[in-house]
Amino acid sequence: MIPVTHMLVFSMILFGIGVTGVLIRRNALIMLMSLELMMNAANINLIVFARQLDSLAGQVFAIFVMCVAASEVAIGLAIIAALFKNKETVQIDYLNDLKG
Amino acid sequence: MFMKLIWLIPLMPFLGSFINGIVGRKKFSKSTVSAVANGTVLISFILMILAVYQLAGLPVEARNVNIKLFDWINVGHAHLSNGLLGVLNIAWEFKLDPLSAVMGLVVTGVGFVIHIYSIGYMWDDEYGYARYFSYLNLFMGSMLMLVLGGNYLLMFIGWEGVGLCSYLLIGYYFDKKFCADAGKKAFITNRIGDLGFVIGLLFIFVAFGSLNFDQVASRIAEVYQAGFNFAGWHLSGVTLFNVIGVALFVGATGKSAQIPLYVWLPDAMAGPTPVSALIHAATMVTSGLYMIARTSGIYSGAPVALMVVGLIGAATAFFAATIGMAQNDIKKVLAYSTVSQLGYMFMGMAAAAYWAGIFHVMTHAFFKGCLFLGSGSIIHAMHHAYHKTHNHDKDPQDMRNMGGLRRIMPKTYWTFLAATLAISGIPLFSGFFSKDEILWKTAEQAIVYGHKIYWLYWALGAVAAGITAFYMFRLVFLTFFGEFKGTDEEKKALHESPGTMTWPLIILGTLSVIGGYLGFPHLLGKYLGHIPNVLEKWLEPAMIHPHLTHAVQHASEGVEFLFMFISIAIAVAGIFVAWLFYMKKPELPAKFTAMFHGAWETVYHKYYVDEVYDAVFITGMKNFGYLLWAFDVWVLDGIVNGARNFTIIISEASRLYDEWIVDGLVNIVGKTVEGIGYMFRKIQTGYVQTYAFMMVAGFILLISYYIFR
Repeated sequence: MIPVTHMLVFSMILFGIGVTGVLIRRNALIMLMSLELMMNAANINLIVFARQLDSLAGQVFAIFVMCVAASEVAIGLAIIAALFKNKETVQIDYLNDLKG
Repeated sequence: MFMKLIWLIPLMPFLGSFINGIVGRKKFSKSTVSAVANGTVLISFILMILAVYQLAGLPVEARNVNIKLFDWINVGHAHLSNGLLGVLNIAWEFKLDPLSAVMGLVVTGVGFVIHIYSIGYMWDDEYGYARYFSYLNLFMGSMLMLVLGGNYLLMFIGWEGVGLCSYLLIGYYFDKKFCADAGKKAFITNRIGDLGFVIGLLFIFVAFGSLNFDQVASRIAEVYQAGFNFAGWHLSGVTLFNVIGVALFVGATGKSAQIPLYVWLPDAMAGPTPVSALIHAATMVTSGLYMIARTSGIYSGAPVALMVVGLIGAATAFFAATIGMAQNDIKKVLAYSTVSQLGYMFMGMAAAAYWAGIFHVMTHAFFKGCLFLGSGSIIHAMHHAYHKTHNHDKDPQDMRNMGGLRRIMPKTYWTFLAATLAISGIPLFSGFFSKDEILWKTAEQAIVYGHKIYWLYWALGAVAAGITAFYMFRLVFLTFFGEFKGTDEEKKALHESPGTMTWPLIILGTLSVIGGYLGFPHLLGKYLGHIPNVLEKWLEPAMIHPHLTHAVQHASEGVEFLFMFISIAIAVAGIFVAWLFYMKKPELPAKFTAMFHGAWETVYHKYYVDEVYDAVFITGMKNFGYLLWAFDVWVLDGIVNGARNFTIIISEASRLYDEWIVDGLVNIVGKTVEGIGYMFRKIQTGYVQTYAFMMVAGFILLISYYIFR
């Protein structure tokens, strides 16, 4: 039986990779993928605690999160497609029109 | 019935003036203008004759017709000495009594004749034929208003109106500077006199409580007794009457050209000659006499005022006559002669012989009107002669260029001679009767009543009579006798004037011969088959003699004959001297002037009166005006400019406060916000990842805080 601590550390590492990807990658698509990583890390946490606490609520939440992630990807990809149409790039350093 | 229509008499000429002035100037032909101007005056003349005819039909005491049209001014009040309240109640009212009848007949009659004369004289005029007749009609209306007005204020309106017309007509040739100047001189000089006149009117109102002639006359005895209380000071009746008399006489010196205000009349000759005849000889200048005769009730109780009138009149008669001796301009001689004759009239007034003064006004209107028109006829001929020979530099009024006109202009000559004999005081001509009456009444004052100063007046008047005869015959000899002093060409161009000019001359010439028989002296009348003195009897009811000072007495007949003889002798002597100087021995005048060079120069330059006035009054006024100007520029403008500069400085300070303090505060707030914003906008990089990093960092910090606290 794999202890809970391992699983939580695993999800933390996964979350850290996701955060790092969002913060340092310049490609909007990769950033979107990193976001998925962060959400999966959260899902793992939810599942882990659902099993540990013997409750179905966590598992239901994980299903919800997956739904949200799916719709988020749909919207995110649409935005990126529109961005590319306008700017002909998805490199995030060129997208600073809101600079003060 | 016609007496009810006397208000139409002044109105008609006003109407003519209006029509000619408004419409006629542009639309009418010269004939239409003449018809309108002469027609209206003729209607006035006919109305006047009819009204006077009816007036004469009334019994003597009823010969005082007052026509009131409507109330005009009804304000103010005066506390009279008898405790009653006088209300200033001025109406448009007209008065026909023997005095205004005589004056009205003279004005309309002589005026009409001169209107006719003007047609011929002004026909070739290029200055504005309609304008001339419009002014002339305006004058007739004003003069008739003066004469027929029923109170002092209407009289004053007429008085000012004739002054205005005098100004307009003197300056008729307005583009010639000396004409315009002469007009201004007449107007301003008259204005000085008018001040006295107005003061007199104010005194009359506060003392009598009315300006109506009849009301003033009815209260004379009362006011004379009670004297005058006003604003805390008291005047006795005599003093009051003297003050009124002198004040009104100041007005008369202006209008009737007496010392010291006579200077305008000689200059007034710049106007057209018919104007000189009508306004500056026959009518307007006699308005002062009319005023005194109308105020006779007050003057009879004012011995000092009468003395002043007499002194001024006698002095004017004498000085003006002496100036007349040395003038070469034909109109200037007549002008000074007019001033001199007006002095005579005032002498008559001063002797309380008001009717004699008015008598001389009438005869003077005839003979002086005739003389002026005659001189106009001569000037007209001379002007045309010079015009034809293209000699525009010669003065057509200079007597030294004339001579021998007797044969060329017989009608002018005979009428002129008749008028000259009349003015010189030759028996059987009109001037003799009136002038002799005045001199005799003056002497009578000295003989009967013992007023010694009247001897002086008589002496000045008698000498002036001799001088008058001298200069008038000098004029006649120089112009009509001897040889023509111009070229033969000019002589050929000379001609008698047209009928419109000679007929007036004949009418006035005839009148100046026979006009005197209206006032035939009692003395001669008694011995020559009871010829009555029509005029004195006629004027008697209009003259108020309350006899406040003395009872009427008469000197003996022998003395009167003696004085009459003296008058005739002086006149004949004057004519003889003129004949000697200018006919018998023409070299004498030159010798004479050489002998008395200084005196002659003084007289020739009119005693330098104009120069003295110029130096004393005009320069004085100019300097005073300069002073006022300087005050205006330096003090008043200084104050105004100071206020302006002060305001500018204040507003500048206000501007600086506004810009630096108020705006500064607002700007500091704005700059602060701007600066802070400048600082903080650096945070907004626009990079999503920066924001995400910030968020993550904050999150980590927050978590760390909860974990490690």
